[in-house]
Amino acid sequence: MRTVNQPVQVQTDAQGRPVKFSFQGQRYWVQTIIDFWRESGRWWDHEPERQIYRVQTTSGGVFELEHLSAGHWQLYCIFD
Amino acid sequence: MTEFVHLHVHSPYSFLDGGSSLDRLVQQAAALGMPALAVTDHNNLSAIPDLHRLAREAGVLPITGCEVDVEAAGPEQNASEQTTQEQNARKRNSQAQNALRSRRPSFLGGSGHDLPPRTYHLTLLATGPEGYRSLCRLLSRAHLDHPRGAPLVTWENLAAHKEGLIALSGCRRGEIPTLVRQRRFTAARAVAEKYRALFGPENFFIELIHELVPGNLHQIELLVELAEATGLPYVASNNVHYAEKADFAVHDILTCVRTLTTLEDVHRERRLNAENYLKSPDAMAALFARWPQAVANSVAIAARCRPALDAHEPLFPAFTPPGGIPAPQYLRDLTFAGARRRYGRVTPAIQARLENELHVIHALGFDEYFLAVWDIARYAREKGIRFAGRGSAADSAVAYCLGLTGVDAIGRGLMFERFLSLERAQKPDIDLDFDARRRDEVAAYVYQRYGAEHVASVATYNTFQARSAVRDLGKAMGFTEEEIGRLAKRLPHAPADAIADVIQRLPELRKSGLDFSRYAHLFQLAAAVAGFPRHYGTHLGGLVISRRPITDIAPLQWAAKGVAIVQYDKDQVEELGLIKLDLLSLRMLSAVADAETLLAPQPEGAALGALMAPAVVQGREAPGSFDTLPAEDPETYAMIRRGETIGVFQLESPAQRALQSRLGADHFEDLVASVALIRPGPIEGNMVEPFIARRRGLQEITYLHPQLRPILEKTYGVVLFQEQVIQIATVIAGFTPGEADRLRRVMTHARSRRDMEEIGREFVARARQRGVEKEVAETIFSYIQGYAGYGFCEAHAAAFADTAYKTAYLARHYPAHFFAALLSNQPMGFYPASTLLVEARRRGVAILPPDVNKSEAEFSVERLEALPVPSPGERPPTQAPPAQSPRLAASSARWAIRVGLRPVRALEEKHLQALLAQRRQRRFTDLYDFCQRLPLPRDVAENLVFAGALASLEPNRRRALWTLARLLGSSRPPEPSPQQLSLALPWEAGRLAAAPSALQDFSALEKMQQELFALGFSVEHHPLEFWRPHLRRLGVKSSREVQAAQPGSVVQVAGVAIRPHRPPTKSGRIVVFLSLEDETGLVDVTVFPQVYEKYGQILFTEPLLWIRGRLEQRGQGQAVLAQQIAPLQEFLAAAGNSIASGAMNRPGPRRKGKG
Repeated sequence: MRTVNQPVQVQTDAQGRPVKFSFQGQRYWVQTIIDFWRESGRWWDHEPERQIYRVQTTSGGVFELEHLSAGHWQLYCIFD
Repeated sequence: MTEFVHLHVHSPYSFLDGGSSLDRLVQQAAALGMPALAVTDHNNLSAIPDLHRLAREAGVLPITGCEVDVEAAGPEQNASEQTTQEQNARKRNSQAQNALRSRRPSFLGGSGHDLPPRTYHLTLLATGPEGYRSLCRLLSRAHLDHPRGAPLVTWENLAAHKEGLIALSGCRRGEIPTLVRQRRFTAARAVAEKYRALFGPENFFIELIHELVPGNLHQIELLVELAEATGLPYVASNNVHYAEKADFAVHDILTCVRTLTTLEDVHRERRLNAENYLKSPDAMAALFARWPQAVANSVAIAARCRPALDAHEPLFPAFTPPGGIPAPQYLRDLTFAGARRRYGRVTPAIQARLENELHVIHALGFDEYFLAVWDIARYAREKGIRFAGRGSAADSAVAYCLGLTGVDAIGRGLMFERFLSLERAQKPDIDLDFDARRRDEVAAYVYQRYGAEHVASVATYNTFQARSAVRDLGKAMGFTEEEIGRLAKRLPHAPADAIADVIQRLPELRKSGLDFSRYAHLFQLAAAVAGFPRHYGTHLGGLVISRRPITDIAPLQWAAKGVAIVQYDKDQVEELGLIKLDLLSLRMLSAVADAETLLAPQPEGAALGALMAPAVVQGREAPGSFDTLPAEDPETYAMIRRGETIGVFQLESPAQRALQSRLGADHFEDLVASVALIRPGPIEGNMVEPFIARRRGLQEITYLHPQLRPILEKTYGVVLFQEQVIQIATVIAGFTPGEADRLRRVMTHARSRRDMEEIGREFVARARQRGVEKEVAETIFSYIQGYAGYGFCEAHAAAFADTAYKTAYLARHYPAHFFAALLSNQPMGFYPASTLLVEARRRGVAILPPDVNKSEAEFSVERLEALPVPSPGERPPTQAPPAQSPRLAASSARWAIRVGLRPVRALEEKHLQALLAQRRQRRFTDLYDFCQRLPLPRDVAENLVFAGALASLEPNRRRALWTLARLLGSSRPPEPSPQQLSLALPWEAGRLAAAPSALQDFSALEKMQQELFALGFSVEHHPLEFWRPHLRRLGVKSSREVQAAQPGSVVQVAGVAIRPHRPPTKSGRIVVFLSLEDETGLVDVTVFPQVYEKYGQILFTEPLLWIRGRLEQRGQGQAVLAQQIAPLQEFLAAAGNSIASGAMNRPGPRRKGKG
């Protein structure tokens, strides 16, 4: 597993769930959302809540995508 | 529309695990349209009474529940699977358990465990009163059979007490979820089946919680699979710890407080997200879209539940009179026998009153309760344990005749309805104050007489206040101890949500130099936890005696002192139908008992002893709580009129002394009024000045309405007592006793502004119906309105005034014995020991230093055969009585107080007893003898030197220290560190000579500092003496000199600041009162708002002050109205700069910040 922590462009469905995303020039399509959770972070420093999706792509990779705020996504890590 | 009920909810009674108040939880549930709400706190039911009340008001069904720690149902896990943390917890538990083994009460039987098993969570819900009873029994066993703080429900107990319970498999710490998470499906299934077999298939549910943490969804899938495989139903919950999402911050910081970590730390108990709030039915439905049955079952379960606290049968104590006499008859017999003793002759009026009271007592079913209290009082009397009844019980003539109180309710015209009435049917509240040292003997008698299973102590809740909130939350936020300490110290006692307001209002905070913007977030969070309980405490005196086993009615657990408490406080206990009995400790009663003991061997004591026995005069036993001293002694009242009441019960505060100087008290009623006058109610209601003026005949007494006259005559037309308020409401506005009592209760409870206004409108309307003019009615009601704070009950005031008079008599006639007794029972009263010593001196009593050959453990008195010859340059230990002080009775002038040994720092009880035992055999002849016969730790021996207690063996303290160093084996000379000296003075603290041969003794100043260190007070000299010549040169007067100064003139005074405080005032503005203590006495100082604004920050933090102000005469007393205040150091330093010569020239070092 490698930590990435880079912003990433994500397209979502009507419920806000990731459908596809691009990273380092590559495009990935989400096949399944393996898990979903929320993290509150450092609220005392006014860090916003994150939504985190662990997704499996059609290419077989597993990624963790963090939704920070409207339109802002971050690729947290990649499971190789 | 989906329906959902939250069945797993934590309130603040989960102690630092609930982020929203119970009120908000209930309100939110109602707002979300939920028909019911369960509360399931950790191993206690403390929220349940409040839940029932709040839920009823909100139209929500209260479901009683509890999240308990249970033992494993399945096979024990391997030790290696446990984390180190869990293993350590087990070790600690087992050590604690071994320590407490001897205290386990045998009647409960208890299952012995050698090692506590791994514990799991289980959610239990009561379907009604029977389930509630099961929970009480379960929890009591869980707590009492195990070490304090580690309750455990055993499988055996669960099986024995499961009626009326529905169980849910629990949060992630439940056994089944844990096993599932560990992929031990066979074990999980076995456990599930075991639970199902125990509770029955309709009463056990698999609990599904979707907290949106990693792996959560999968966990739910597995649990559902398990449920389907075992044929168990499942239900959704949200493991709620706060009302709304935004409240997560509060919960998170409380988690830090609970785990002793900071926000920045990582800890396994910190929640990952803010999902554990009361989610709406729609939100829950969305989360469990795949399992709608889970949501539906929450409602199905709720439908099976009803309130657990129903109407109950009487739970009052059972008292069986001897000889098979029925209780009501026995009570009647005792009452009338007592009436004959008290009144001599039982007149028709007395008879009628007693019959009425007995009738009400019987109708309400309280006969046995009264007998139980009578029996306790009888026991105390038999054992010579001094006691005094207090409170509204003194409104009862039956209580007077039974000897429970010393107030003649009939003679004083006190209304019985204030105490008990058929309309109110309230439980009687009888409070007894006991000699503090022997109160526990009385409590032990109660346990023994009624059986430990029928008696328990009442709990209190230690809740977050401004200081504790700032300390705990500040630490969790990562502020340093030092910074938090600086901030917390400056905060007054205030609710945690009043901090912002207080900072703005109080100059000592505004000008403290602290940057409050740093703490904005802290104060916000503190406000959110205002009033939250942090942990249980034991109510100081409250006991409940129940005719049914207590464990049927309330859960019991251990409190700090090996005492079993119910999990409810005094108000909740009453809501449950129990009667509380207050057996309180009053140190003043110990002091009175001690004074008696000190006097007993003396001729004076014999005379007093004869007076102390209950006297029968002209066939009647005079009223009094414990004995009969000469009533209305003129010399005692003369002393009171001069405001010389330091040490006197209830009359010693500066406010009281100021009142006494002006009131002119000359009979008992004046004391009753005094006790009631200096209270927030009368002060804010502007009663004090009119009362004084009328009492002194300076103001005409008028009554707004003729019907007020008979009610207010005895208080010169001023409304002073709660009973008078009730009488006014009845007579003027036609309230029934029940309604009048509602008025009274509103007045004594804090949340009253709104209610007061509502009642005011009703009062005026009804008064007008009876023909009273609107303005008159409104004015009358305005008199009453001041009681929104704290009105006083006349019966209570009379009971207190009785003790006040007795102690004033002792202070006047036997000051040495009385003050020795007060000093032996510190801490108590308004003033510290040092002030009491100054006062005793002022009354002509000599103070003799502690002496290993002469002192007892406590303060004692010695007769002075001849005055000791003072050594050159030293002040004689006895002080000639000041010219203005009262002429002392010849006997008192021959007495001195000998300081006891107990106050010596670090001297333990065993050392003390060994010392006294040795001395009884033979006096100590010298230091060698002393050290040889009494092996003491080095620091203790040194403290004895510092206290002056070894001076009779070796007068030179320095030599004594060196000798001790040699005898007790150490090479370094001892020296209290600068930090340990509690006062810094302009001269540098003395340094010990390095060479052993330079054995000149310490200076007087150094010796005084040592005494302050070793005793907490100085004996030979008062700190101010060392500056007196200097101060005199600067025009500063001593307190004695101030008495002779011209009223109206501007004076300067200096001294130790004693008890600065801000009592409520009628204007609502802040006035500070304090006293300055010097070697001749006290000067009272008043600081008005303008001056307080300028110097407030000094008043509460500086121990030594210089004050310039105008001297005001107040009756026979005086006060300085401050104009200018400075720390004494600063004043002397500034003055020192203008002195051209002399050793005083060098300004002293600035005092280190007190912080």
